[in-house]
Parts: sequence; C-alpha cells; structure tokens
Amino acid sequence: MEIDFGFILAQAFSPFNLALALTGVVLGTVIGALPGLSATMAIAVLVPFTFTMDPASGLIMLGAIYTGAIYGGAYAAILVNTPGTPSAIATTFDGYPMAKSGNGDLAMTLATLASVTGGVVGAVLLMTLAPVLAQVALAFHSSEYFWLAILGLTLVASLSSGNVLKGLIGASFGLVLSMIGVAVIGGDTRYTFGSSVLLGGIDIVSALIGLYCIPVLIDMVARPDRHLEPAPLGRGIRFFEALGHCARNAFNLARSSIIGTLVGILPGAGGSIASLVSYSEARRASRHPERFGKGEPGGLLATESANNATVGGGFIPTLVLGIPGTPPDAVILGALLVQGIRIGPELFTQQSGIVYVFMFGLLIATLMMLPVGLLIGRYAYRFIVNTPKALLVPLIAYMTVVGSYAIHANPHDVAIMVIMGVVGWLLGLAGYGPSPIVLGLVLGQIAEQGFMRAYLIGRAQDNFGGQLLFDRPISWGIVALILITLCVPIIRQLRAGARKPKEARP
Amino acid sequence: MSQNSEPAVRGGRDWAGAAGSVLFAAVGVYVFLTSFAMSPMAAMFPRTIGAAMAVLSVLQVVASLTGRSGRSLEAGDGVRAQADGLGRRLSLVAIMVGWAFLFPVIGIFVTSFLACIGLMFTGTFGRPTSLRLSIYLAVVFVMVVFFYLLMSNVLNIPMPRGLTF
Repeated sequence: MEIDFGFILAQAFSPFNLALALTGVVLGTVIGALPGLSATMAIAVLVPFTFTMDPASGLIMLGAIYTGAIYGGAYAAILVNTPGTPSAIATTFDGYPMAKSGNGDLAMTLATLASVTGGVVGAVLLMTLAPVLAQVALAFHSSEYFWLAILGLTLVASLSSGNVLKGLIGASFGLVLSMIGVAVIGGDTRYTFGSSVLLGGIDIVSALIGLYCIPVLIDMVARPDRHLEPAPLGRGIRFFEALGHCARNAFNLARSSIIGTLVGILPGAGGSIASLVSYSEARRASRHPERFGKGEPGGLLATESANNATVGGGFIPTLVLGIPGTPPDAVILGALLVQGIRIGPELFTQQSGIVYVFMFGLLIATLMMLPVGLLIGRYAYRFIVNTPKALLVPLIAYMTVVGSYAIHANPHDVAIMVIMGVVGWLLGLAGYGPSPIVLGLVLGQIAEQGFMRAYLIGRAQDNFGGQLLFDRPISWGIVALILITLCVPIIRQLRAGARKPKEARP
Repeated sequence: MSQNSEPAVRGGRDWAGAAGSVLFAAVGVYVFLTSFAMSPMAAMFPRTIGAAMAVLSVLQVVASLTGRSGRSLEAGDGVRAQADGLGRRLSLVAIMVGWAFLFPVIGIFVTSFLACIGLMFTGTFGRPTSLRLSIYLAVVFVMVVFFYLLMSNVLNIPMPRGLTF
C-alpha cells in the first residue's frame, strides 16, 4: 500500500487536530507539573473522550498529553526539588540548584528547549526507523537489564563525590527498601513485619516525593528568606542565553536524545533509567564534571532531552510489536485496540494513514511544547518566587498529600511519603543525601529481577557466566560504559594530583 | 539544601554521620541475618546487599570517628544549621505526620483544611495584619476546595470521607 504523505500532512495539520494537540500539551504540562499526578492518570481519564473522535485525532490528543506530562515533571523538579515522576529525578540534580541561585528562569527555558529537542528526535526516529529499532527491544535480555540498572547506579559515585562511602551506603539502603514486599523471584514475603500494607512494597513515587520534598518544606519554614532567588526585573525568559547553552551542548543533547529513544524502546526501563544514564554520560564527557550537581546547564539539558525522547522510543515497541514500554503506552495501546487498530508490523503498511497522522501529530505536539512551555514556565517560576511562604508551604504540602494519595487512591501511600520524608530529613542531618537512596529504590527491582532471571537461565544451561556477561555482546558494551564511568573520574583525579606538584614549582 | 552552611567535617569528628552509620550497620546486619529464613532465590539479593551495607557502614563509622569523613555533594545542612528554626521545623513534621495518619479517619477535606491552616501559620513570619490574614485564610480555603474538586470530580479519584468529609 502506497503512503499518501499529502493526505497525511493535511490531516495532521487540520485546525481541529492542531487544537487537540495544543489542548493536550497544555493539559499534560499542568498535570505533569503536579507531583503524584502522572501521564498515565491523565491519559486514562481522557481516553473515553477520544472514543467519539476520529481515531487519528484521538491518538494525537493522547500523544500530546503524554509528551506534555513528561515535560511538566520538570516544573516541580526545578522549582520545588520534587520529581513528581521517576523520570524527573535527575532533573532535580542541577535544576533545583539553578533555581536556588536565581537562575530558575534560565533553567525553565533550558528544560523546555531540551524537552522539545528530545521529543523531536524520539518522534523522528519513531517515524523513520520504528520497525528496525523495535528489534532492539527483542535483543535485550534479563542480563542486559541488570547491567543497565548497575549503569544507573554508578551515578551514585558522582552524586556523592566528597564521601562516596556514604553514597554507597545510601544506595544500599535504597536497594533494601526496594526488597520490601513480595520477592520478584521466589515469591517470599520480605521485610513487611507482618503488615499487609507493606506487601505491595514501597511505592516509588510516594517515596521520592517524600524524600525530596519534605526536607525542602522543613527548610522553607525555618527561615524567613525567599524560597527561590527572584530574577531581576525585565530579564525575560533568557531564550537566547539558553540557545547558546544548547549550541555549546549540541553533542550532549544529541547523545542524550538518542540514549532516551533507545532506552525508551526497552519495555520496563523507562524515563528514569534514560535520564540517569544520560546524566551520567554527560558528566563523564564534560570538561567540568565538578560543576554537575551544583547547577550545571549541561546536566539539565541531558536529563530533560532524554526523558522526553523516551516518549517516541516507547511507542516503537508499542506500535510495532504490541509490547507497551511504559504504563502510558499500555493505556494508549488499549485505546488503539478499542479504535479497531491492529498492532504489529502490518500497521505501518495496511493502516499507515492513521499511524503516520498520529506520528506527525506527536511531532507537532512536541513542537508546540516550545511556546506553551516557555509561557507556562515563565509564570510558574514567577508564581513560586512571588508567593509568600505562608501560602506556598500549605500549597506544596497539600499537593504532596493529594498527589501521593492519587497514585493508587491509597491512604497508606501518604503515610509512606511522610515517613520517607522525615527519614530523608534525619539522614540529611547525618550527611546522607536523598539521591543515592532513590536510585537504589528505583533500580533495585530491575537489577534483582534481571540478575535472578539470568541466574536461573544460566543455571539451567549450566553457563551462568555466559548468560550474565561472556556470551552477551550487548552486556559487554554496557559493562564497558560502567567501567569508563567509574574509571574516568579516578584517572582525572590522579592526573590532577600529578600535575599539581609540577605547577607548584617556580 | 545549602551546600556551604557547614564546613567539611574532614579533620573533625562526624558524630551525626557515625550515628547514622551505626543505624545502617544494624539494618544491614538485620537484612543479612533474616535472609537465611528465605528461599534461596529470594535470599540472594538481601544477603549480598545486607552484608555490603553492614561492612560499608562499619567503615564509615571508623571514618567518622577518626575525622576522615568527607562531605558529599548532596549532603543536608548538618545538625548545627538545622537548629535554626527548630520549633518551626518540628511543627511542620508534627502537622504532616498527623495529617497523613488522621485523614482516612476524619476525612480528607476537613483534615487538609485544618492542616493547611496550621502550615500557613508555621510559614508566617512577623505579625500579619488582620486583612492579610483574612486573605491568606480565603486563599487556603479556595486552594483546598479546588484540589478536592479536581481529584473527586474531574479525575474521579474516590476521596476518603471518614467521620466528616
């Protein structure tokens, strides 16, 4: 069947579809900005409305909400140090320090530009290489997932520079937290202390809202100064300054967007691993790795481009193989089936009209994020800066409570959020930061599941080493990246140490 | 979290770090020992992580007590800096804990409104005029109503009613 691109473009650019894309991006951005409210929830609520629409229009709106919600996660991460979703964890590392130092406006613009770049790269790769790239999802086995999780965990070393030991202990604690509940392999009940509440484990989103947000709230009420430094009057959105940063980080943006798309293709890996791996790679490749974690624009560009690139990447296995990579993909897959669209390689030939209109719609929605994001970002930053603490504290606290509750409509998630927040605050007193704990918690289940599956398969084949590493070329590549990530800072430190005495000589 | 509010602990003893590490060592030992009651498949990860955590924590205790503990990039403000405004900090913690545990019993709307008023006063510095106070109360009320309606009516999330609503 021949593809009529003229018809497809006319459909995608129809005023109705453009209006739907704009509405979807605005709704998604606002929902994604509220901690706890996820893209999945937004899409699930709006799916029934799309049943009455033309299939392509409905899909454009769902795609726009999805991409807007992933981008919206940057708002809370930058302005209140609260990643509402795991994919925004790494955004807090440099976004919040930038906002604290009066560069919140620049951080918001950088996040918007990076999200648009990542989203466009993901959407273009989806349009051009989907059937080929879908094979990547099939090439990744349990051992690769294990090494990918370990690659994410290597970030602990850079996040805890100054005291790596505490970082490793924090990550171990996160891994222990990830074991609570029913074991992923073996089915044993672990560390629930007889409580049925803990059987399902600790919800990651509740824990990360608590660990990041409660200590910020506790600090906010202690001092009368402003929560964020205000930007000087008339400075605007610093668009051209942000463009300059993007130009200097062009390779970083391209690399992070490709990492985001490739990780997005892997079912279950998602935006959290994509943004963590991209951040780690950006830090490793940077000439100034010591600036990361203190408000380095390159770190923010890496994470935001990667997590938005996962949107396009996630659609690749969903559309080609019928395997949803993330929960929002699963909801959209359901909507596709209800619309009577048959998923699989023939989708790109027999029903190519609908699928290409949807892909162009996703691209248009991503481009619409630029004006929408710059506008909303500007006012969101001003709102947070100018709202008195007497109102900002209850507003943020209320959003954390209703957001944690909304995840599963379960009051226990709120209790877990508050307990984790207080634990995070107390551990902060002892010099333990929240990020290593969160990394352990997020990546723990992926690592354990991958390792145990590789162990079971390897034992059955009497070749555990081969199954885990030696017979798996993709694993070699990931292990090489792990070694480079760990060794490069040590080599740099040794070189700097060797250079210093020479420089000291007259 | 400020990065520079307390000097690096290198050279001085890091008592808070040592206390935290003792706690982590205890958790590690507990995780390691309890793994022996699990099936081999479920025990492998806890045993490895528990042992590693206990060993690393003991090393950190030694480092903290001998003044060799560095300050990590993301560390919190430290005990001394946190003493500033301690009453307000503890008030916020108490309100949040009470809110989280009471809202399923009393009802989310009433608990949230009361908790938000408590947090509003906790975040108020100086003596506000009665007009400003009335405006703050009105804004808090509108905010609680808005999010309640957003959750219950727009997103169709069943909100716990408890004894009130």
